[in-house]
Amino acid sequence: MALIIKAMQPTDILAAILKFDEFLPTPAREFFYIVLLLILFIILALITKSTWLYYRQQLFQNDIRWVLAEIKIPRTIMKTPRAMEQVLASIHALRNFAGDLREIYWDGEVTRWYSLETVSFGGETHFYIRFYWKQRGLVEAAFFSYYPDIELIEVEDYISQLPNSIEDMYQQGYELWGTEMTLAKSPGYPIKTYPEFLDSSEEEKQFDPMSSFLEVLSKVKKEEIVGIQILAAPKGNEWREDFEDFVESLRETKISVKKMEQATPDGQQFKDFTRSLMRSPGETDVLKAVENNLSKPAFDTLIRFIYFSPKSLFYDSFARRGLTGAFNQYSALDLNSFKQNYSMGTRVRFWNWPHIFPGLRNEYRKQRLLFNYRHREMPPETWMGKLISSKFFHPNFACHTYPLNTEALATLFHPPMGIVLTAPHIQRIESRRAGPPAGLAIYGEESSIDRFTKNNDKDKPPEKK
Amino acid sequence: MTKALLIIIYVLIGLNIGMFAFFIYSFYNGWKLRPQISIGKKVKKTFTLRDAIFKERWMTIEKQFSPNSSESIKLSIIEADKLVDDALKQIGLKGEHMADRLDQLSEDDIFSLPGIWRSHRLRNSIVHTPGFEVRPQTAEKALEAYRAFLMEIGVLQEEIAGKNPEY
Repeated sequence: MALIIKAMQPTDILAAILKFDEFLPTPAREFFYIVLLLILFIILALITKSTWLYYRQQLFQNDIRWVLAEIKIPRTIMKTPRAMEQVLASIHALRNFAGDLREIYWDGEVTRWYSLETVSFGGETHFYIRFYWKQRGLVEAAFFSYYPDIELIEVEDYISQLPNSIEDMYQQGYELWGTEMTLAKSPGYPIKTYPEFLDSSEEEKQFDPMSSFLEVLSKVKKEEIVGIQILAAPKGNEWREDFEDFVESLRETKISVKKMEQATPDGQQFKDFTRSLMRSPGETDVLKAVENNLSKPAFDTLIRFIYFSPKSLFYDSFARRGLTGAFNQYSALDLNSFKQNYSMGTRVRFWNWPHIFPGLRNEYRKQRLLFNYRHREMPPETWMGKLISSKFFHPNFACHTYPLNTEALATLFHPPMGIVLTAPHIQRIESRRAGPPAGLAIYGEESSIDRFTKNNDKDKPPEKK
Repeated sequence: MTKALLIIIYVLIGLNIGMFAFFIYSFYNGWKLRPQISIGKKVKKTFTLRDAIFKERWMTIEKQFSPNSSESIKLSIIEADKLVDDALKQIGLKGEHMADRLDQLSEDDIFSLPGIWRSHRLRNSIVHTPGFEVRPQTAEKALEAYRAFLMEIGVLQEEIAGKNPEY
C-alpha cells in the first residue's frame, strides 16, 4: 500500500487525469467532449437564467411605490364577509403579470401584491391595506361599492415607528417574537370559511371569526405592539389546473379494493363501477368542498405576525399561543388548517436541526422576520434568488406562499361585523356618509373645487422608501 | 471530419465562457440587491429610566413603610430621596448635592418640583436635626410628592405606582 502511494506522485495523478481520454478513438473522443460541454452549457444556462431573473425582479420590486391606507370602520357594519369576498374579487382583477419575453426577462415583472394588516398598538386595533399607488382609485372603488360607509385614509406608514433592526430593538429594550403561518395540508383542501360561521339567519347563531383576533389584540399591554400581516398576490385563474390530479384522487373511494373483490363474484367492471358510487358521505363532502374551493379566484398568500414587547413584559406565549390559537378557528380536520411554519418562527432550540449555534440562528431569524415584516417581503421566486438572499446561518428556503381563494381570504380579513362587540378597541367613524345630490348648482370654475373633490397629492407618486 | 468537430468544441468552449461571464455579471448585480440581513454586534442595552431596578426599589420603599413606626417613616423618606437623586443623576444632571441638581430644573418643565423641594427639606431635617420627629401624615405627603415626581419623569408607570396606593 505504502509502495503504491510512494510511486504515485501528485504530478503523476494529474497527468493520468489529463490523459484519461487516451483510450477513446479519435471521433468518439471529440463527441465525448461535445456532449460534456453541452451538458455544462445547459446547467450554466439554467443557473444564469435563475440569477438574472432574481436581479431583474429585485429591480422591479424596489421600484414599486406603495400606499398604505387605514380602513376606518363605521359603528355598525351589517355586511357579512361575503361583501369582502366581492371586494377581493374586484381587486383580483387588477392583477398584473409578465406576459411577453421582454416583461419576463428585461422588466422582471412580478405580480404586485397587497398587504392586509391588522395591527394593535397597545390594545388599539387598526386595519390597513397597502397597494400600488396607481391603483388607489380602483381599490377605493372596490371597497366603496360594497362598504359605502368605510373610509380609506392614506396614512404614514406605522413601520417607521418600529425598530429598524434587532440591534436597534435591543437598544430600546424591546424583544420580539414572530412567525409565519402555512397550510397543514395541500392547498386544494379549503379551510373553514365564513359560510360555516354564518349558517343561520338568526343573529344569535352567527359568529364572526374576526372577533377572536380582536379580543386577543385588545389584551395587548400599553407598551406592546402586535401586527398580523397577510400578503396576497393575485394568482392566475389557471391555478386550479395544478390540482386536477388531486381532485381525481379524491374521486376514488378509499374503501378497500381487496374487500370488494372478495365480495363480488366477477371482478373488474363491477369494481370500477361501484368505486365511484361507494364513496362514503364524508368523502363526498370533502370532494364537494374541494371543488368549491377550486371554483374561485385565488391569491398567493403569506401570513406573518410579529409581537414586540419591552423585555420586562415579554411573554411570547401570549402571541405564540394566543394568535396561533385564533387561527385554529379555521381548521377542519377533514379539510385544511393553519399551522406554524416552524422554520421561520423565532424560537430555535438546541433540539432543532442542525443543533448548532441555536442562539445565533435565532438572532438571524429575528432579523429576517423583522426585515420581511418591515418590507412586506414576498419570498423570491427563483431558486438562485433564494440562495443569494440566504445567510450562512440562515438559509432563505423555508418562506413560501400558498394559494388561498377569495372566500378564505375574506374570512381571514374583513371589517368586523356588527355582531362583534368591539366598541372600545377600535376607533370608529361616528356618522354615516352620504354624497351630495347630483346636479347641484355650482358657481365657479372646475379648478376651484379640485381641492374638495380629490386629494391634492393623489396624482403624485409617493416617496420612495 | 475531426476538424469540424474540433471547431464545434471551440465554439462550445466559447459559449460556456460567455455564459459563465454572464452568470457572474447577474450574480454580482443580484448580490448587491439582496436583502440586508445582518444581526450586527450584540450591543448592551442603553440604560433607561424605565429600568426594572427603579421600579423594584420603589416597591421595596412602599412595602417597608408603615405609619406606626417612626423609624420606618424616616427610613422610607431617606430611601425615596436617594432614589430620586439617583434618577436625577441618571438623567444627566450634574452637581455636588441633590439641591444643585434640583436647581437646574424649572417649575415650568416639571410640575411636581415644589413638592420635591418640600420633601427634600423634610429629609434634610430628618438627617441633620437630632430627635426630629415626623408625623405620619406629613411623611405620606412627602412620599406622595416623590412618587408624583418619579411618575412625571417617566421612571414609574401608572400600573406599578398605583398598585399600592395606601401607605
